[in-house]
Amino acid sequence: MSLLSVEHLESQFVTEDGIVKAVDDVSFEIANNETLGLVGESGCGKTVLALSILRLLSENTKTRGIIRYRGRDLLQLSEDDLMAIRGREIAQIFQNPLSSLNPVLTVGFQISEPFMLHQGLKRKAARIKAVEMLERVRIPLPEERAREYPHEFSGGMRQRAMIAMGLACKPSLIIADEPTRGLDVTIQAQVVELMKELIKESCASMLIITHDLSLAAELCDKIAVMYSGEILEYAGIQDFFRKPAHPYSKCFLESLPARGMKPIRGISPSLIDPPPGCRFCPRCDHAREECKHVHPDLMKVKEGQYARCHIYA
Amino acid sequence: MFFNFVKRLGIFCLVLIISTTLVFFMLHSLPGEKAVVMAKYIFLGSVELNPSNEEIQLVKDKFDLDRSLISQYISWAGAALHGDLGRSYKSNDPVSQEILIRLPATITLAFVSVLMSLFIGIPLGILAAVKQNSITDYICSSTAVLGISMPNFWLALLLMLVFSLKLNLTPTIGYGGLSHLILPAVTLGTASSAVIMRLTRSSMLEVMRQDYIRAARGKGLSRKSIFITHALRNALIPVITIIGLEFGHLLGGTVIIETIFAWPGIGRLLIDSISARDIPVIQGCVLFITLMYMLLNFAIDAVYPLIDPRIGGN
Amino acid sequence: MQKTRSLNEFLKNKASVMGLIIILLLVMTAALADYISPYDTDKVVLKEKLKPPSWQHPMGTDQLGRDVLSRIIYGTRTTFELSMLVVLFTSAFGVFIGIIAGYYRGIVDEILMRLIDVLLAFPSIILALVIIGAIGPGVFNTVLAISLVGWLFYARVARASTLSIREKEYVEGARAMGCSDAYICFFYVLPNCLPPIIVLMTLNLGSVILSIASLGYLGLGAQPPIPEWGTMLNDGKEYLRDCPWLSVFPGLMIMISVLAFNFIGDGLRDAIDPRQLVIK
Repeated sequence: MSLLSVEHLESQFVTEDGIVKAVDDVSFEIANNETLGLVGESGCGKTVLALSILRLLSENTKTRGIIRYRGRDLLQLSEDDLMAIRGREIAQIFQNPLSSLNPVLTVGFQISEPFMLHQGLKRKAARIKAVEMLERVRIPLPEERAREYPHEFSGGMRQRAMIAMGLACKPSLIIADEPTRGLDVTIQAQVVELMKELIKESCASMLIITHDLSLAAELCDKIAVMYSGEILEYAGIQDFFRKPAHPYSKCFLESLPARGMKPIRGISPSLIDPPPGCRFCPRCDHAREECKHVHPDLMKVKEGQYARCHIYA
Repeated sequence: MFFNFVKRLGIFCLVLIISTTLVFFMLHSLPGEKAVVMAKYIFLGSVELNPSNEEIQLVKDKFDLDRSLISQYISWAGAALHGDLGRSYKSNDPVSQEILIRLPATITLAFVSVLMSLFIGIPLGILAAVKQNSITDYICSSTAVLGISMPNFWLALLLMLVFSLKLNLTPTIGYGGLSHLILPAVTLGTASSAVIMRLTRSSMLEVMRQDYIRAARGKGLSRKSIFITHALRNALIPVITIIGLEFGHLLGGTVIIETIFAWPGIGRLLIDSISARDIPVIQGCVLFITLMYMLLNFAIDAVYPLIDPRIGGN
Repeated sequence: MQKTRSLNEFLKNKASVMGLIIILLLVMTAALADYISPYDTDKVVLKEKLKPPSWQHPMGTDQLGRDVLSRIIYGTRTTFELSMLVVLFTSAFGVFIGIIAGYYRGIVDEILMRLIDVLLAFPSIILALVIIGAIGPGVFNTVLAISLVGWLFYARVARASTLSIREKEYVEGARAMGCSDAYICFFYVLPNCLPPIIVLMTLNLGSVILSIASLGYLGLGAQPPIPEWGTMLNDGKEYLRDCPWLSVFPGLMIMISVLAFNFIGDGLRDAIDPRQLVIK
């Protein structure tokens, strides 16, 4: 049985220009000890999807569907029950650590909070644990660093501190939203390396959200490609990189620097008023007449690989 | 840190010098005016009567008033550095003595008002932010706009009318125990409470939108502990800054409030000496008001790093 | 597009619309004072003195038997004339100085801004009082005293806007096309720094009204028999116990005017991008 299964998830919020369907009928599963990479361009709804799992979106966002974790639907839980899951069972590593760390509290305190909260430790004991966590994410002089504030950390160290905070209570599932965004390439490599080791050590399942395919290639077992609020392709990592099924996936791969850096023509459609047929159709080289009018379903390409494209009908 | 302190001190001195210079030259901007006023007091004992030309000339010679304004300013500033602010034309007492007698009254009034505005403004601001767009929020916010728009002298009269004259709960005017303090402090603190309430509310709402609040929720913290450990301190940072500015407004307000309630402080002394054209006293009052204002802001700058670790570090 | 959106945003705000209506009514009152005022403001009728509000005198009469309502109506004129004068004068001067300082930068700008920081740090009513102390009480001197401090705010805001506008591409372009500095300042910089200035003017009108009334109340502003709200309060305070109407109505008028300007200012600030505003 899968650890997390998301079924027909929809998240939308109202703006002055209309209703934004940031997540539109998304389904996927994550098994125990599995890492799923959710990739897509910026603005495709990845982050909204990540936040809707633990219900961290603002109140004006409406979320529908089923998010089953260990058999319980997170969308139906009371706020109190959910609080016991957040940070203990499912932890989230947020993007942009500078704004996600509280500027007026020491890093050590912020890492020790989950210990006090979920393991009932006293302040001192939690603090020792926090220093241990800082050591585990390879921060030098963890004792002293724990007493410092986020602004005294470098970008890479802040990201490590965020990871330490997420891993604190040995969660079964970690949601990492753009864990390498805004870091130098060399620092990125270090962070990826660290995450690889930590995933192996902790045996946790993981959902990694990124626009960076090379990061996904390093860390993930499976890939889900998101575009304009929906999933266009779902495949194992080997299949995806060897033989991507959806035309968008092909374009996405070809846009990588290592594969020719070929830009995708056109711009991604608006989330308010998406094209009626296939959402990628206006930018697709293989588009046919039906692509303009009929919205395709996710279709089986082969065992373990699915694509939302009429080619596979 | 040390460099910062020196810089602050430099600005502090600069403000003192500029404000005293400005005031000095403004008060001496009318040529011969000073000699006339002095002659009135020395020979006639009142500002209402006009002295003769001989009397004016006598004063000019005696106090050497024909020299340039700059040299007069330098001798005034030199004496002021030694604590000598000259003598009042009206009473002939040393200005520093006149001011020091009245200083405690003004300090009491200003500090009680600041405390009052904090104790009213911050909790109500938080309440309005927590219950955003509710009836409570609307009531708090509209009362605040009223508080800002109400002229303090009118509020003083209304409070006096209701609580002293009609209900007989408080003394109307004068200086004495706690009961005398209530009406002036409430009048003076109302506008500041409103300003602080509005600021606390908007700052709280701003903070609750920040990423670190969402991250704290992601850790599984309850609404209450997010509020206390994560939101409150951040929200109070701009409030600390505004206290300094509000203190300036309060000092300005004391001028009017002290006059209305016959509160024997510096503000009232300033008004009295303006009507009496008692130049040395006006100058002394302005000097002390500036000093008080600057000292408080100095103190605020000093406690700032305790609340916001991003300031004042390396 | 941007303008219509701001306008719609403003009109959606009920408080600001109410403020606007109140101000329009008050301006009309001031303009039509000669026609709607029931009595002569200076007509002393000693046997009618200190009468409470009645049908004949809706706001009662003062210690000289003058009709309070008529004096309130003419007081509207005094207050609005003076405050508009102050705000127009200070905003024009302040914006002028601010744009020049922000456009040319340099040492003069540096000194000017430090000076403005110092002066703004100081309670403005005390500065105004000192100025009055130097030049004496009176209507004109009130305007002068408040103006001498008031332009500083405008200079600071205009300078801050100018600093960002002068770096914009379209200003570069205009310069490349050979437009003179004066032309650029007037046709490019000025229109673009107007929105925050307009918000400031509205909020400032409220505080100028308060300052004028404060000086009037202290007996240092408009001198009797000119009908002015602050001065009326000052005259009435001795009769507070027995004739509260002398104190209640002028104060109420001051509050309503200030409130209305604050409502409009708040609404404008929310409607125009709030992050453009440098001052609270």
